[in-house]
Amino acid sequence: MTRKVISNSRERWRQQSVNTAFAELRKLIPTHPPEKKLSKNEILRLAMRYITFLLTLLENQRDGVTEHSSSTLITLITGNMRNLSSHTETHSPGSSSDGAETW
Amino acid sequence: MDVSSPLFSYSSLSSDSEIYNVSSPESSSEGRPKPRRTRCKNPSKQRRNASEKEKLRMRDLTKALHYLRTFLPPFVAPAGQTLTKIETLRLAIRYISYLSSQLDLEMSYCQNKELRSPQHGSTSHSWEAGNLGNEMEAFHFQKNKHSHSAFYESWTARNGKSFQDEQEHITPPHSDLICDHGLLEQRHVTLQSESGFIRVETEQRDGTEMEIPNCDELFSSGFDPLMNLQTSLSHQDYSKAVQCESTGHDFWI
Repeated sequence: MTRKVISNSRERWRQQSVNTAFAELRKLIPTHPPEKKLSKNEILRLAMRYITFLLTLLENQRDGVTEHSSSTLITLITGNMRNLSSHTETHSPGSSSDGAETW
Repeated sequence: MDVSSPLFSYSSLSSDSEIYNVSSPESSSEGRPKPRRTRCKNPSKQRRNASEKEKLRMRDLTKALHYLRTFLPPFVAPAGQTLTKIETLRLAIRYISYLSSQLDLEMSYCQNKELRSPQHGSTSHSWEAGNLGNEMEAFHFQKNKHSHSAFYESWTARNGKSFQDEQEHITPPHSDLICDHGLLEQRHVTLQSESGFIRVETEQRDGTEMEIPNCDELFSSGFDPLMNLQTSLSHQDYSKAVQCESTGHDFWI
């Protein structure tokens, strides 16, 4: 019985740390509005996009293309927002339920 | 377990849904304090549909996580080494912070910063300060620089020869950057101590190249919207989007 309690609390702790990591990752992803709630799936998808975006930006800066990067960030964010809205319209309604997920 | 093999992705998916079934969908949807209901052998159609939907959702999530893994540089996520969910997430966090700090360093002279979201800005600033501040961070900078070029090389291998030209540009601008911040001497010292580091990295890169066909399989299998999305968002497309501002807008949609 105690073993079960211990394993339960350990699992809860693990779950919590995963959720914290998700929240941290969310903070790094620029959105409009900045506090927009994202599902875990959206966080992952946007993180991938953002990584690719940053890499491209870095690459272009090293090639000397510096003047467009600010407008490109705007393009990314607006693009993301449109993408998300179309995604939530077509996808499952419960996609943004974040709390009681099992990982 | 091998991260890249299709077998692994399958097994991890099934184990995930098993975990999910053990924790029972009822308990998560109706709150914890309620007494446990015995699972009925013939659940209603509605219940079955909901379970199916939930299972698919979890599967999508696992798949997305797998993809995120392939986006990390091979230095931090070497082939053949499994990463847990939390590890993947933390590495992604570190990688994004690193990339944006790089951008900050390069953009600091020519860019306005009000476009970034507040949280993001603060992270980048702390990184920047650290990089300029002490030797430890300078070492970290060099370390990441190498992992970065390793990342590019894996991309080159994956996308064919078209990136070879771009790769040549990686090193020189970095040295400019170092000059810019007057840390040339400091960085020189760390650079010398890196030779062992580079050797290790090369070995890991060899491993990565072996993994690449599997990655491509993953990319091209086109399972779900996410996968289609990711295949369409290749590196080249991103370059195009950045370079041609007029077409960029349509591309992100």
